[in-house]
Amino acid sequence: MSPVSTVHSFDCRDIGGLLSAWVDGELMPDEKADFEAHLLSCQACSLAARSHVGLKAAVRRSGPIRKAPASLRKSVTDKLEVASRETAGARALRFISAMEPRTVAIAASLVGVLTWFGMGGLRQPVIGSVSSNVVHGHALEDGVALHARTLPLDFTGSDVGAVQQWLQSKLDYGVQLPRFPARSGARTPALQGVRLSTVSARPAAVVSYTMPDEHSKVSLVIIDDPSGEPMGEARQFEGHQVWVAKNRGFNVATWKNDEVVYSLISDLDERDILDLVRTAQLH
Amino acid sequence: MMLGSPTRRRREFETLLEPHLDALYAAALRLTRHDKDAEDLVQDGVLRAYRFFDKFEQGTNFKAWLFKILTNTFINGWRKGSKERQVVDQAAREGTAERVVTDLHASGTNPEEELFDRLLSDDVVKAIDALPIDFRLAVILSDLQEFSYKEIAEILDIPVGTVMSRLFRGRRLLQKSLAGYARELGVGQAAETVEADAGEVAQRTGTEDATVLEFKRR
Repeated sequence: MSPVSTVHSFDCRDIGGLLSAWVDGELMPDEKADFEAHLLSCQACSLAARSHVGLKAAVRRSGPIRKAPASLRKSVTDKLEVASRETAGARALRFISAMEPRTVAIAASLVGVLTWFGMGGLRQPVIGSVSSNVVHGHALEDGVALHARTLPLDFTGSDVGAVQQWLQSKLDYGVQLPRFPARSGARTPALQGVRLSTVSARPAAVVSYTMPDEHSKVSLVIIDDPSGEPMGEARQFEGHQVWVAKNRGFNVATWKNDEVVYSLISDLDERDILDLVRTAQLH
Repeated sequence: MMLGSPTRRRREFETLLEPHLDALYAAALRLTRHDKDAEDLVQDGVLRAYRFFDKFEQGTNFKAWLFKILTNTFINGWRKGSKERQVVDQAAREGTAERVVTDLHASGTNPEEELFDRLLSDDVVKAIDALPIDFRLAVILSDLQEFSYKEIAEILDIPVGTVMSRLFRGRRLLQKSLAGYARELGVGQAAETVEADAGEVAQRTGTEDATVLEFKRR
């Protein structure tokens, strides 16, 4: 390879920063198009890019999905409670010091009552008992954030069976990719491939589709999450329960299958995305 | 952020914290490389975040805010008591002198994807743990926590160009050390290719971000 490629004016010696930005989905669309055009014309840079993709995937796979131990959760809860009590005490002292002496006794009683309410009646710790809605809310946000970025795929393919087979070799839970049958007069998403990811500290997969007009893209974010109901308004479609939500301007339709959560995210309008879900073979 | 009673404030904080506790612990594990130290780091970071909760702007990125405090807690605590900073500074200086050239692949085959596929997660974790801290932080935040460059720049308080530079150099170091593991696995040709790639560096002058600055970030 020549040090400086004449194609697309890329200097192959200085491609390092671009490689990282490309593999991390950080290039602007025009930069990405130029860079990928260069990769097509430059075998060496193409190999370097594939190497980067392989390395990043290996690092992501190594990511320890280790839960915070119960001892840590308890310790955090205990220490926050102590810190909260100290804050309450400090506030009370400031309050008392500002009062007339004859009202101090009444104020002390008031502080006692407030402390009782604060520390007694509402003692249940939130850590470890947070509602699943909060967790699902963050999963939704993470999923939408992944959809909004254009990240390189770990596996490219348009065949549902092949993508599903690849996913099965990478995830420790079973997935059932939906099938979108072709319908006359209706747009059908075309499968592009999949990227492994992490959503709310859980191993996840992001399946990418494009729509025929190439202006819209659709992502299917898959996570293993047995807890509670997904975010959104619950609706029934063809015997399936689907939760419909909106986040950062994207429409999200979510369904569950064997405790695995599937969220279809797109900038398609709500009617179109629900139409996709309604006509898809989800199970 | 406007807050009510201490109890309400605590519950509000805990509700926001809960979804990120596993991620904080996972990152702390890779930063400290020890279970107990990771727990201590998370506790310290969380308490510090709670003390500054009034400063958190509601509606902004709470996870990034937490990670900024966690990494600051780690860097500040570790700078005082560890010699690792000296090692890092040295590695960073060496990295500045050695700019990786990406004319790396003379061979017509690219077995590296397959090579990385065959490596054990433990090997990769060991290689990450061996990275100098500045590079390790960038790799952890980008590859394990999926933060964007802009978020990483804010968390580490460095320019986006430096994020790119540290990620690229960190990954090159990872490639080099993983080649060693691959050789142990008996993936001979692949390992040789990778190591040759990582070894082909050119002496270049300029600052850490000279290459990156040539790529105009918007």
